[in-house]
Amino acid sequence: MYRLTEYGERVAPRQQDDSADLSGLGRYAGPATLILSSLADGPKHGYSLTKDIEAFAGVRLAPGTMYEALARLEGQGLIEGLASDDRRRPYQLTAAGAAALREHLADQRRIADVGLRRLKTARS
Amino acid sequence: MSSEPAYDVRAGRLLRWYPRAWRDRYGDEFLALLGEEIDEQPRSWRREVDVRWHGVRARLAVAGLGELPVRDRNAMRIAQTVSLSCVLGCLISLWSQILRGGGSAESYGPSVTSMRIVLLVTFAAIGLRAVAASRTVATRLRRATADGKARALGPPLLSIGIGATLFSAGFAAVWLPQHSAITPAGITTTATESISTYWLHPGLLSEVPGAQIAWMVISPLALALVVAGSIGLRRVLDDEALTGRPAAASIPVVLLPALLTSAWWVVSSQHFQRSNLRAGTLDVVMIALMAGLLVVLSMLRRARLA
Repeated sequence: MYRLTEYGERVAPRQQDDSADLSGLGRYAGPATLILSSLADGPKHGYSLTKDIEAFAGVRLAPGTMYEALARLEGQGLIEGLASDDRRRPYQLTAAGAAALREHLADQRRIADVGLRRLKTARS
Repeated sequence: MSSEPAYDVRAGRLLRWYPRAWRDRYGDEFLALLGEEIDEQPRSWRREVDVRWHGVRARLAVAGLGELPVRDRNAMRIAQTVSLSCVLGCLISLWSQILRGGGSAESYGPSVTSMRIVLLVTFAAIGLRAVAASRTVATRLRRATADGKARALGPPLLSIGIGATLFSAGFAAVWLPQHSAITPAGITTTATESISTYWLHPGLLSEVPGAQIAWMVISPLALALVVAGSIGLRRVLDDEALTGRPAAASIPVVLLPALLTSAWWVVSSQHFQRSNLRAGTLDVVMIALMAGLLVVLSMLRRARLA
């Protein structure tokens, strides 16, 4: 229940982020969704991610934004880096990442369906 | 980064905006990405701004001021130590002025009385916390002195003490009264008010003897060396009683009343009949600095360790 500090004091354990969903990423939820969606069909390195996201979403993630999102996703265990022979390290989706993406996209779909339905009703 | 591959000079320059720990982890792959981006689009102000901005965010995150978990506990402790030291320095300086001003509550109104009481309680609370950790801190301080780490503090502290003694009769200019040298008020005044004199009243410097002008240059350097030397002793203060989470949580609570009463004094002192307790530009700057640093300390308190 408790852990000992290096001074021998008992303190509460560090808070673990069990949610492992995209809501904890704050303003980086958008780039994170794009990155996870891109990784859903296989591992990619940074430049491949950039080009793939630009192709399917029309958004070009700048390098700093890309890597902050990658660091957050890796920190939350939603993606993992793979070994590579050159400097370009590919990342892949973890099981937790796939589950988080699935849940997030399902929520987005529900919101999209509500919005589109209401627009149709308003027009008619 | 384990080796030094050839990379575009521009990519390398951009990478340096990130802290070392980040570069060790992501540097190679980030350089590869930047290289490909620069090949595709040699000039992009958006990329330049984006990388620099996120580099600064990564540096703040290392010190516990971002939203990412903190991996470098040492950097966070440094940020905490420096922030707390600056806040305490500002409070000591303000307190010295309030005590030095003399006079009665009727002369100055409730803001000065409140500030005297609140600052006294604040320093007493900090003192009690320090006493709680004194045994551990004393042992470490003895070890740091034996190891030579505390020696860096010797020369600047000595120069401040000598300066405070030499100029105990006050400065030549009429706006700085005499004071007793080896007291908190005296030392603080000698070491800090001379800075405001130097920078804010340059036209009156012709009335000041050369030795005192030399002190006005030396004293801020000595103060800077004391702060730098104190950072080197941060491990002495790395005790849960002083800087652990319970202490960190209490810091804003303890210091907030001092900040609020100081701000009250600044506003009300403009109407004081006598000018020696009227808040000046430096006082306003110190209070604004304290407010900013309390925000920083609150952010550090909420930082998560990885």
